[in-house]
Amino acid sequence: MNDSEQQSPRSFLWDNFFQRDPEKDILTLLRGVPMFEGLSRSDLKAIERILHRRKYHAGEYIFREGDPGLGMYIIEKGEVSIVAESRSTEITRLGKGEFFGEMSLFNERPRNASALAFEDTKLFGFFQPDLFGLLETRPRSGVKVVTQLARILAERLYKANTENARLASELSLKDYR
Amino acid sequence: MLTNTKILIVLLLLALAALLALTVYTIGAIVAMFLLAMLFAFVITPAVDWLESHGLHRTLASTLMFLLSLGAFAIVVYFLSPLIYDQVLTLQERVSFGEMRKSIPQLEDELLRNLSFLGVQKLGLTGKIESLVSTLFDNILNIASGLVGLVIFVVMTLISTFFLLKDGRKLKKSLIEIVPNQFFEMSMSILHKIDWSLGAYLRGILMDAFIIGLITTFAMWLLDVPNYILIGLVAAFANLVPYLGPPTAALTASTISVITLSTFAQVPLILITFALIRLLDDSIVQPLTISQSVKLHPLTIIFTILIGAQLFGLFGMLFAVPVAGVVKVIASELYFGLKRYRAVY
Repeated sequence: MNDSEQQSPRSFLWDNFFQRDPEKDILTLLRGVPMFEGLSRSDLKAIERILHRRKYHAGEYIFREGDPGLGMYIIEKGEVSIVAESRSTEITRLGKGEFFGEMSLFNERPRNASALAFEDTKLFGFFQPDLFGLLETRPRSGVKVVTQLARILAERLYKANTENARLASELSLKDYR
Repeated sequence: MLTNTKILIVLLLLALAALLALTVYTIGAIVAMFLLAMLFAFVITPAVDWLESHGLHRTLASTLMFLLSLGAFAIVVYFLSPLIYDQVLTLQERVSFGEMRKSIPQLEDELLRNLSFLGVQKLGLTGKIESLVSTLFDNILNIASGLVGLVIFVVMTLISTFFLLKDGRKLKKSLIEIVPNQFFEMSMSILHKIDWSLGAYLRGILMDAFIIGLITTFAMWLLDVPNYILIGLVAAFANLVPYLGPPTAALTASTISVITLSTFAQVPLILITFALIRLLDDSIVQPLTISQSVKLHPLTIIFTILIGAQLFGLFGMLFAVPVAGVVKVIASELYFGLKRYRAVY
């Protein structure tokens, strides 16, 4: 065991007697995810029950570009790199509490980018069958999640449209000159 | 040309099939119990989901639906089993001592007269028919009287059903948890699709059998055919066997009518009624209940029935086609899933 792995008496005491409740940690993490905003504690607990906890080693693919999409992931620990394989470029890098792949909750179209663990990473997977299951068994919670998702996607669409309009006007200005 | 992945998948599927066959052969009763529990769970789950959606906790919803189903089953058994037992006994009595016994020697004389050119002296039809019928009924009554084994089987099936209802999702989640990351999404997608299609198929065939059983019972009661409940039950079970099932049920009804009433008067009407029920089933009931994608080729059905009969006798024959349907659902979802995830091309 190296120095960094050695446990101090204080952390031993902390871990064994004042250890934080892992469930509470998960609920705090979920509360920070925009699509779970406004959900009650019992709703969040219901969500937590249907989430799939996965561990990925550094460099391991979470999904690949072109795979059928099935759902989204929330980062519990570590970093995830979103890569456009076709262009061999990293689009973005995401950290704790951030999420990706949410478009796949609504359709199974092929993923338009790959996701791979940048370092050892822990994720929560939230998938389409589970969302539909939630809508059937807890419609109120399900509707809240879907509404938040719709809000997020609408915002993204608005931004994309604004960007499109800006680019179009720039192009037309160039043509004019 | 076959790729290595394809060969590996085919070998894996063959190994799985062999393992499954071996398991069924060695611990058939336990497998049957678990499959039956799964079947019940598939049928009851939508009701449990509905209760859960109305605010009931999963455990409470499962318990409630389980007790309700158990109550309904107990009521059906309580009222129906003495009736069926009675009808079987009456039928057996009629076959042994009724008019039919007198008419068999006449039929035998007629046959011998017509077949005199073959030099046949004696056919001994009375003894043969009586022993055949007696063996058949003894078998039915033996099944009914083998209560201890049956009770254990039923209790274990019910316990398994309850836990599948309550913890089915947790079990599925645990199953998914052990899948390596590389195949995680693919397995989840395939498992979900199998679950959905299988549920729809099993609920469909059971609903179809139930409706046909009910219609047949009502029609036979209207036609004043004796033992109409027994015939309805036979029709419901026979409906599980495509092509062969409905004619068998019609033949059973005709035979019961001829034996009991010693006349062929009801036979044409019975046959017409069964033909109409078949038509109704094909045109209205089946399209509403069973997914068309699970339709099996007639040749597959015939071979499946033969294999089922060879392995497990009458019960094998009855459940061969539904089991083949289940296998088809699993295989096709597995294949399309693997194809979508580019595991096979």
